[in-house]
Amino acid sequence: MAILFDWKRENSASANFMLSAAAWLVIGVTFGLILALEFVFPDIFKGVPWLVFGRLRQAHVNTVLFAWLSGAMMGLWLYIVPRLTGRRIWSELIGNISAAAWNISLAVGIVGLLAAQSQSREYAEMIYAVDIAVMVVLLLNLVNIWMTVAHRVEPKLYVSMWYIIGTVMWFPLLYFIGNVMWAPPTGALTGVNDTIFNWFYGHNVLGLWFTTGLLAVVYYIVPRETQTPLYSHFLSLIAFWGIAFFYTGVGAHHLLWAPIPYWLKTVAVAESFGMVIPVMAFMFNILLTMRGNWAKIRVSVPLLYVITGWAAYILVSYQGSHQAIRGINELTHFTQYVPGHAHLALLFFSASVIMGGIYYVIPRIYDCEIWSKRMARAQYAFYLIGFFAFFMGFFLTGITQGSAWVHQGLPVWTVLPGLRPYMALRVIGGVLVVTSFVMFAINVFATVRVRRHVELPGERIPLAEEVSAS
Amino acid sequence: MKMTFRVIVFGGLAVFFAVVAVAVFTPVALWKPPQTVIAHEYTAEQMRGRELYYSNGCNYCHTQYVRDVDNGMGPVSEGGDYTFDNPMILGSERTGPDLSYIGRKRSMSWEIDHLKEPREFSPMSIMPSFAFLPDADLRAIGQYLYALGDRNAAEWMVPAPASYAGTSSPSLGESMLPEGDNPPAQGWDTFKSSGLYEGKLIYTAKCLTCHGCAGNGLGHYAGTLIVTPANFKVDPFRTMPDDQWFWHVSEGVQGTVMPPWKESLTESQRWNVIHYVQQMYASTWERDPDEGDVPADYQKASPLPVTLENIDAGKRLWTRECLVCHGDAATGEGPYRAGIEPVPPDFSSLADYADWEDDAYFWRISEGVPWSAMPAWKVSYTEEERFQLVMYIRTMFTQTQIPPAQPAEAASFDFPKIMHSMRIPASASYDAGRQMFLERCAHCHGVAGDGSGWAGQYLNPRPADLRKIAARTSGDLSTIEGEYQSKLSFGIKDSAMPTWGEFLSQRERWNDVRFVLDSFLTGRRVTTSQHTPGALPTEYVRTDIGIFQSEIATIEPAAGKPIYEQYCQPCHASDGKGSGPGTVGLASGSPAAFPPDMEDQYVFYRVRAGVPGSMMYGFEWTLSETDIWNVSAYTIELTGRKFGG
Repeated sequence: MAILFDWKRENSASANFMLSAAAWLVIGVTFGLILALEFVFPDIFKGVPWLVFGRLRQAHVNTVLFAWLSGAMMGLWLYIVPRLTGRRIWSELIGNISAAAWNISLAVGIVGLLAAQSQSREYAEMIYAVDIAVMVVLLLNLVNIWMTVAHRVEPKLYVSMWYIIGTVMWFPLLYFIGNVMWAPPTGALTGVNDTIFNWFYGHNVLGLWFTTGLLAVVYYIVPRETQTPLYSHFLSLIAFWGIAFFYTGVGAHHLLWAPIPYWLKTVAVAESFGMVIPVMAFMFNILLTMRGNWAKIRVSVPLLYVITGWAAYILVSYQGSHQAIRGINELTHFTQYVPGHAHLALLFFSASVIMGGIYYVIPRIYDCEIWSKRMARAQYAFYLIGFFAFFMGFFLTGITQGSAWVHQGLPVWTVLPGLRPYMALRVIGGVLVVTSFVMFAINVFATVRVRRHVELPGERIPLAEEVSAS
Repeated sequence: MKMTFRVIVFGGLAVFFAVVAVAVFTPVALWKPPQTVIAHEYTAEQMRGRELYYSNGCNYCHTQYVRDVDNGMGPVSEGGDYTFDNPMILGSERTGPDLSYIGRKRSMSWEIDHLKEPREFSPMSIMPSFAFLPDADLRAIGQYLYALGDRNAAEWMVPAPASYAGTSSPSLGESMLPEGDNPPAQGWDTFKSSGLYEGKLIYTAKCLTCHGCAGNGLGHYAGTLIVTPANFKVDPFRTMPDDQWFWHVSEGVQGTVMPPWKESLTESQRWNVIHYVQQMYASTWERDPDEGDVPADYQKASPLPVTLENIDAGKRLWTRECLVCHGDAATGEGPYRAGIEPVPPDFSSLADYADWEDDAYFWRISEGVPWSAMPAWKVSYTEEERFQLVMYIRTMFTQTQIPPAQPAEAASFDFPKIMHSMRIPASASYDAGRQMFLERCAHCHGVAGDGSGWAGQYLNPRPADLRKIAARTSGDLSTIEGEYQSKLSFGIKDSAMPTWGEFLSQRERWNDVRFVLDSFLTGRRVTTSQHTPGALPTEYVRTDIGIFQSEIATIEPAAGKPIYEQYCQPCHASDGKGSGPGTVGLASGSPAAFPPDMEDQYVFYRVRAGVPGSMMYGFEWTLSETDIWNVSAYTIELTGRKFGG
């Protein structure tokens, strides 16, 4: 598609990020489905080295985390930032170079993982060369967004901008520290302290990257789609500084039973539970903005997805805070409950907000309608039902494992055979979710290709970029 | 608060670094756990295995750290366990077992084979097959796993941790142990005052199921465990320091199912049971128990009527618990009796037991015998069960009670209908059955099966003459396999034939049935000599009599004579011509006469390994190497050749 490479067109970097992410999405969730199948039929791809569970799991995580979610998220920022600063992005060229470099380096990294080239630190698996490439893109992105902000037309910085400015700054720092980038080629320290870096980074990929990056999207789309001003500046302040303070220090709650300092575990538990404060502030801020606007989720596809993502964020945050308490963590640790939590965060909160964002942004960039709103809603049904079954698979597996191991003192291998039905449930839910995502990708690409124009009755409502183009 | 670009950037950085300083930099700067005994530097090969391990993502299903809530996985991981690890691969999910201590549990070849085909080892495993990796890679992973948890550390005497180091045993009391000319203490009073009686009760209740009443680690559950329970009769337990004992009993033993007894036993109880194990198994003294008379509360006669059912129940108990030391013929020659002091009694000396009444047995069975390994069975069995055991001993062994009259069993042996159609499984091995017969049956039924075994001659009825089975060839043989499985499993009610179902696995019993029926019903005739001059299996070609004699023992043909008479003469006859008394009417016929040109090594090889597929036993596990040489030498001299000549 010529469009993809038209790097001079306004918003082309944003579109390129999002469209490539949509393609990665299909690959990433297919990996996931294969993994789910391997839990039930371990010999299904026997003898295919790059489909062996251990390698594929790393590829799956990195594909959905970086290629799909992060790529799409950066694309959304590149659209939102110009709207909120009142000018074009500082450099469309840098944006497009970022998009290209991001996709190429991730392709190298993911193929590397499938070929057993891995650092094997969770969420930081990709090899050192790819780490550097990722770092370069993050810095280019930082420059591009900060320069846009520095040369803005609109003097006031809206909440979404706080988050985006903070996120593009925090994540490169986090990536550098957490990946121990001063120690090539393993990107790791020797000894148990490596885990402290690993999980500081690992959890903040969610905390200071996806959460802060996607709350910006929620803060942008909910007021726009409901045509309602954000309820409270004060609540926004609490949420923003609360997240920056509490989320940064939660990493060690992954290590509550590992041999690290006891006080550090206590800090992590306290910080994790403190997350209740910014989450509540954010929850009420959006809830009260939505007051009187609930009917609009039946009209607006983007709002439907973003509000679903908002609800999922509340759920996953409370789950996370409680899971970090020692007594609960003792039962959930090491079980499938934990990847269940991770999927609630990434597959339900993040993916939902991003899909809503893409459904909102892509038609505006290409000045058209979503190709099929009916398909988008059908997709939503698949997504919701599929995810519920999928999550229950993780949940039931996890609580069974936890109680059998800790309460009954059973060894791992005696519990495992009884978990097959729940693992099968995960495959069933997974098939529905994957179907939903494939429909999403088709819908997005068809939107760009068909560019369906819809004549609205009455006066044509001006589109956002027409207002701000100057 | 006005959120300007500057406030966001500098405020954001300040908050971020303030928290990172507390949650990342400070702990990393302060936390320097010392290297533990488990940590070791990796060799180049192990390092390569480790890289393969983590780049293939093994750590996404297998953790490498043990929490304090984990059950039976080994000691809780410490920071210093990971001194040489880069990157850290603790793992976050435990889809498969924790591998922190896997090197102590599995062999390297097991690891490699399991990596290739996990489901050949555990059918319900969901581990992927790694058969696609080249053999060199699999070997490297095997090397790495084999080193995990440092199996050497497990085998070394790990020093007791600080809280146990140097703990010394409370004294047993004055003059309990021999000093100078004083003999070791004996009798019930000293046994109770030293706390050993309480130790015996605890041992019977809690330790015996795994460590066995013979203390050799072969209790009933031992066979189900990966790591064999401790055999107290060998090192390191014979000389283990007190603080080690107390630490292991209190905290359990790493990598095994030995529980931490501090949870349920007080400190003095733990010491009592340790003393008991030390005195009875680890470092025994020659003692005379000096029991005294039956106390008043045990002076009672059996309330049970003498019935076959009660005797049979007693026999089951005997087979399950007593046989290991007392032997199936109660001559005190049970398979695990070695090192037990005082030795188990010989019930075949009938005159010694002529005046024993029920209470004499009942008391000893219930309370054990002081200063001996005899358990106090009142802990595990009811009074009725103990009296049933008394009845079995009195009717079958000491013969001071008359058993009820029986129908002749051989004529119509009654056994469960369900076993009528049972067949020997194809996997049952004749040679394994023969080995079993030699170890478990021959001392009563005789090596030739003629019922003339040395231990069983005092029994009434006498052990069966298995050669008579051959007479059955004319009748209906459709149920005979099930019949012999029943006889083995359930015993024969009016005799001392044990209920082997309590002691041997079903596979072992089927092997034995195959041996008995093949040998005595259809016959395995080997009537021509197997010997070919000059032909020896490779492992015996270099067997050197000279080295054996200079380093181990002198070979005496004369010393082989009693062994020959016991084990060989029933078939090979005193002159070696092969028509011994046991071969009369034997379905397998008589063995060939010894050829005159047998090499020394050949005879040694045949005595040691037997003749596969024939009744010629291999004595490798029954006789010592020296005895095998002696009997070989005697055999050679029977052929008229001088041994060593």
